[in-house]
Amino acid sequence: MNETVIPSIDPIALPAPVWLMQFLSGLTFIFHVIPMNVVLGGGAVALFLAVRGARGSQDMYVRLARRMASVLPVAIAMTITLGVPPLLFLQAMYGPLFYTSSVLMAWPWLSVIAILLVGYYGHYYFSLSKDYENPRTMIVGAVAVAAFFVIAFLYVSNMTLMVMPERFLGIQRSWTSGFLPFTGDSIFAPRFLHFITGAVSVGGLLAVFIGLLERSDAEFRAVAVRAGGFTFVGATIVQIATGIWFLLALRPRVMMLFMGQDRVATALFGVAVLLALVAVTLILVAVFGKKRPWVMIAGTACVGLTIIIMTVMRSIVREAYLGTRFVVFEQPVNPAWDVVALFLVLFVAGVVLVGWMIHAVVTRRGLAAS
Amino acid sequence: MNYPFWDVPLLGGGLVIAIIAIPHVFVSHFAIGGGIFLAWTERIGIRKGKPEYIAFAKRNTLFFVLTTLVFGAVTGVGIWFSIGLVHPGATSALIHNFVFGWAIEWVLFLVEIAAALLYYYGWSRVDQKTHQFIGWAYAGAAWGSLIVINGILAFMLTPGRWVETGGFWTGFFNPSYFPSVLIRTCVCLALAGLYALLMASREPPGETHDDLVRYASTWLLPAFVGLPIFAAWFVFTLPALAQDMFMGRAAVLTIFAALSMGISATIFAFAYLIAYRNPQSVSTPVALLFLVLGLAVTGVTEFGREAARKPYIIYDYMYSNAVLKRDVARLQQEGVLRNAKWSLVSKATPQNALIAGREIFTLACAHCHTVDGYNGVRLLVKGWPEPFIEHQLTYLDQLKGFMPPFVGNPDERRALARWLASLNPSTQPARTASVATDSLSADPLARGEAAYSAHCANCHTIDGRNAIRQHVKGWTQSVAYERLGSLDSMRGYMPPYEGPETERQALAAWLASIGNDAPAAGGAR
Ligand code: HEC
Ligand code: HEC
Repeated sequence: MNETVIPSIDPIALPAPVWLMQFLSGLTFIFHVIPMNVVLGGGAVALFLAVRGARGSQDMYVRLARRMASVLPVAIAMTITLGVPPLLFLQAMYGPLFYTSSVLMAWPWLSVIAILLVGYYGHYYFSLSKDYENPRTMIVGAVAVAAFFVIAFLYVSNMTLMVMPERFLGIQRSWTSGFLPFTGDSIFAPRFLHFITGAVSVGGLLAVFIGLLERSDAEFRAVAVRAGGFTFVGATIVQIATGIWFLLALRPRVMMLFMGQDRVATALFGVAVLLALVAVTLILVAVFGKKRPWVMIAGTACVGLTIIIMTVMRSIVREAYLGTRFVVFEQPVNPAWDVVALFLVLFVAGVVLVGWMIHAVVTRRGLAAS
Repeated sequence: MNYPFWDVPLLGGGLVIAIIAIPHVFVSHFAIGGGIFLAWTERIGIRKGKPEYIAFAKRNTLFFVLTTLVFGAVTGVGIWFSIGLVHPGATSALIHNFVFGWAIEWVLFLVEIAAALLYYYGWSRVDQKTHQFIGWAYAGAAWGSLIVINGILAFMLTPGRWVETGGFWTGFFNPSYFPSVLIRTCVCLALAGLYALLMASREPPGETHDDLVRYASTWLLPAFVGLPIFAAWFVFTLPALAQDMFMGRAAVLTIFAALSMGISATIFAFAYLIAYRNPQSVSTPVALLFLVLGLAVTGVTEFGREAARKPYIIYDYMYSNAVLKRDVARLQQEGVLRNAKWSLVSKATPQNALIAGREIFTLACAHCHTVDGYNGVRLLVKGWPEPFIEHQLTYLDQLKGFMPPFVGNPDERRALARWLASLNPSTQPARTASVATDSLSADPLARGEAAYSAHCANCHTIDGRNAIRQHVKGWTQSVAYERLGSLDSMRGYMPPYEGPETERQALAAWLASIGNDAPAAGGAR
């Protein structure tokens, strides 16, 4: 059953060049990934701190946990909202692969919606709860954290299956078709672990930032920066390890792209690793040194750049896995520039409008003042 | 046949979509109306110096925001997931045509979400003017997302000239675009009014209660005036077949339309007679009941709108089973199996008939039928002998149910009929046997009836499906005798009649007797 079946490309041509859609999808994906990591990792770290704090009656941890949790509902809203465009463009460009892999794990994939509702309302409850001593709060929090890990698991599963069309027919013929998520490839485990350790690092960063933003209470500030800093550094070290595992688990042909065979891929990979190391160093300095905010900001900027480069590497891996079986750039395109332009104009206007409104509410200065 | 099929036992994929879509449609219309309601109510409060209006808007902000943000957004994504699983081909077609329409809707959604949150946080933080501005941004973006998504939804029912020309704008501003936008806008306002009514009913009895109840009830006015007009306009823009369905050709749809109108009328009567005229009598349970009726009418109407599209998923372009209209003739020549990427067999033969039949069912029928559950085909073909099924399949698109034509070659039709017949194993022998014993009698009519059982009852019943009585109405015995000689040249692809002379006479006599009898007297079995 090693015959590869891929549905044919839609007879209606794409309304914009593939490069533009790749760009838009990559751009929005990055803005999706950041709050997503905050939800996933921030939620887990907050829960951990809350449990530890409540157990050892360490008030500071509980306070930190509460502050972190208060970010979650808005971060979830951002994650969902910013996740829509990448999924949209993915469907437009990779429909034959994406719809197929989704159908082959239909029930788990559809269950994402139900799990998301549970996690969303769970985190609302967790973040609004006044009472962290109460086991019920912790249970709801744990359910919400688990929900987002399951969602991450299912996404990694679908996105992995999608680039392995040689598996489609075998799964479709088996009786479990539609019922089980896909985990049957050696890259699945390292890919998933690499993502969630990354999320935990970002959760650590969130704690550091909350500490740095605290002006009045020096003790809280110190605790938050330390706890967050340790989490970040620890998780990043594990992440580097899972990253190496991930790299080794790739098909040799794909791995070699990053080991010298393809100059751009290799360079990107090198820069990403370097940036990650610089980020760890800077953040260590920020945490244990004089805690200068700008060192922290520089470290975070390095993390951000690493995420951007990793996003590009991710698409290199995708195209390399698909090879000649599905070449995304070779599909019929019949640009509808007027609609594309309308979108871009509205997009910019929307961002400006939202920016202005946020500014007005945050600074408490609106139309009347100006 | 391009994509693998997601088999949802008992429910069928269509119901899975409906389960997610109906709450979403309700909540999203309600949230859009909510945005307009909040901004307008705050404005009235400011303009007319009524602080209780401002307080009322403020108290209800969190709820509207949470419904938009959480439930609306998550179920909206849910619809997407579910249509991608149930109708990947159609979803792909829509996305290829409208990806930037969706992207524009997303921008508006982004503004809506941000403005809603800021409107909520802004109550105590910004001046009135700015707050009003944010409120109108919320309302405007919410309504903007409606007028965009409406283009895509209306497109599926009335793609109009797009089918020939293609193109974004042709598809977007399709024949039913404007009436749908107006209908949906009215519904948004009415649902927000119903919700406001519920909230107003919770005020302590007194002047404020009555004032707010009366105010909330006026939000139903646009729907009361507009819906009948816009609905008529909407029906006018529909394809002829869909119009017929509403007008009685599809009983279910007619019932839906009647229900939708009936419940709406009840709601309007309530809004005027009770809420507007006697606001003091509006209690919370009553208001709640009417909000639930609002949900019911949304559900019924959406169901009707979806059903009216049958047998298409995108009208005149793609059938519900993902077959493109323009491919039908080719598939009837080449066969579906040969073109099906995921099928177990690529050709129907007498040896593999049952497997091939099952695969053909999945490809051609399973988007609308389950085997045993919703619209279950086992019950639908119960009592149908195999040759009759096979004949019915040749004009599937003329049976009740508004089905697409059967796409498959004659071998495949035979295989599907074999499989469908196998669903109800013990049908025909009993009936034939019982009539056969009667035939021992010497009565010519009884012998004629026995001949009917032997030669015709495989495909005909006396008064039920494909009723023979209807076909032979008014025939005399000699006409019947005559026609029996030319069955194979009549409608229905019948085999020629080749019985012995005496039997032919007896059958003709019997046909003439039932053809000139009323059903009750003729002893319908
Ligand atoms: C567009 C959706 C759709 C498709 C595709 C479809 N059907 Fe139907 N079918 C219906 C509906 C709706 C009914 C009406 C059911 C009722 O009246 O209870 C129906 C009715 C039937 C009936 C009963 C007809 C009668 O006159 O009593 C049969 C038999 C049937 N379908 C078989 C099939 C077969 C076989 C296929 C595939 C070749 C198929 N259908 C494809 C929607 C569909
Ligand atoms: C193989 C199935 C089959 C058999 C056997 C069969 N019929 Fe029919 N018959 C049909 C179908 C299908 C129609 C078309 C019904 C329609 O178009 O509404 C039909 C139509 C008819 C009509 C109306 C034709 C017209 O053009 O108006 C008559 C009369 C009729 N059948 C009589 C008979 C008689 C008498 C027998 C037995 C000798 C018989 N049929 C056997 C399937 C069959």
